Amino acid sequence: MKVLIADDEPVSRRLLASSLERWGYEVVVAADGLEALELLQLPDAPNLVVLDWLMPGMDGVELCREIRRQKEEPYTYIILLTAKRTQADIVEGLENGADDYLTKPFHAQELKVRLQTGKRILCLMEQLLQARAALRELAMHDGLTDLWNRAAILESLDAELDRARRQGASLGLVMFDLDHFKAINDTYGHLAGDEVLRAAAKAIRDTLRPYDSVGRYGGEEFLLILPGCDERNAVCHAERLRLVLSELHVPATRDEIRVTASFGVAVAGPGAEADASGLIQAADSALYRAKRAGRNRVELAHMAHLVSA
Amino acid sequence: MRVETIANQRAGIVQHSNLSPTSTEPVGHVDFAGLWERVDGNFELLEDLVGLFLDNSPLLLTQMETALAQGDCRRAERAAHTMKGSLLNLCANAGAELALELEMAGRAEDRDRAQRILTALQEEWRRVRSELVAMTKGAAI
Repeated sequence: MKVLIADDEPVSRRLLASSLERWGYEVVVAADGLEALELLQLPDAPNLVVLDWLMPGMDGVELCREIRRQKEEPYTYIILLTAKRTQADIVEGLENGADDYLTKPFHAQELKVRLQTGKRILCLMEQLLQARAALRELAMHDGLTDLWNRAAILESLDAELDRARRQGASLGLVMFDLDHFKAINDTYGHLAGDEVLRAAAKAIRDTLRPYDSVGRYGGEEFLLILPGCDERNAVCHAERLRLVLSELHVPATRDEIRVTASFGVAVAGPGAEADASGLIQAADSALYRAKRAGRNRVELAHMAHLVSA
Repeated sequence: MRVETIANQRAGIVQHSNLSPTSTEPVGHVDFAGLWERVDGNFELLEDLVGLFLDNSPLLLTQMETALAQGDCRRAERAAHTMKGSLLNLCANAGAELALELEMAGRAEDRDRAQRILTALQEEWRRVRSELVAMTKGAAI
């Protein structure tokens, strides 16, 4: 584990670095508070920090405050190491964000175990962050297809609409639905239906640009967000996706399952006052028309009311 | 090991430095046993620490002198604080006490007192320096 030590007094700094290295830490050294702050901004900066209190430029307590102000995550565990030893000093140090406090000259074994405490807390913190990230990932993904789930794709649509408005760009939205999916379930069973959804999701994902997003909106219904696409581009994307899905062969017990899908495309042009629900409604109406017109086709929404002001 | 021998010999005579004027015991200015323990028996580290002290402490003394000559007690206080840290780490406890007193005199803006303590600190520093040099060269003092 990396440890940053900041101390302007060279004998103390060398002694500290030598002890930490002996205990197996990777030591990063700063000769004052400002240098320490700079080192803490770097990627892969240490999360365990031992600070002297009195240093030129920025002292240890100021540095504690600055670290707490700037860095919420990952957590930085701070041990103040100083010749100041009154109760008022200890209170001031801890109040300003230090996690622990040790007086100089440090007692090697005491510093060693206090660093272990810091290390233990940082490991727990890391585990918590990983668990939270995993939960967040689970909460935003559809378990069957691994695409974004409904809530996540709607959130993404709001964000992309905001971005399009800020940048004066257009935004395409495609709502599409596998044709006759109920018949697939009825004929081949629900497990086969799930397999079709998974295979379709994979095929859809393979057609995306890095900045497109796709999510499962309902049972066999999907939403695709296409940032920067005008009507012609959005229809092209939908058409390509229609072709990809129509060429899909999903193995089943008796034979292969073939699918097609119908597409409704809606585009918010640059400067359009479109909100997410208006755009979804427009794409949904276009999808309805595609279904009515025989399925396995792409229809473009009439967006007269969303033309730029 | 020669340093260990020296350290043990010294530790037998002097447990801690003190500045007691009534003391008739031989007074060491560096607690060798404590310092040897602090560097965990690592002679190279000891040499490094002494080298750093010899390089940096004269600058601190000059800073204190200049600051007091200019009436800048707070700057003298800061330099004394840093000097105190070095001396404590090298187990030069009497010197560290003087540095602490100078630090406090500086904080109290008591220039005359700070000047008197600085003179004592400069003398103590010379003794500490010669003991440290002797220790790292393995010579008797």
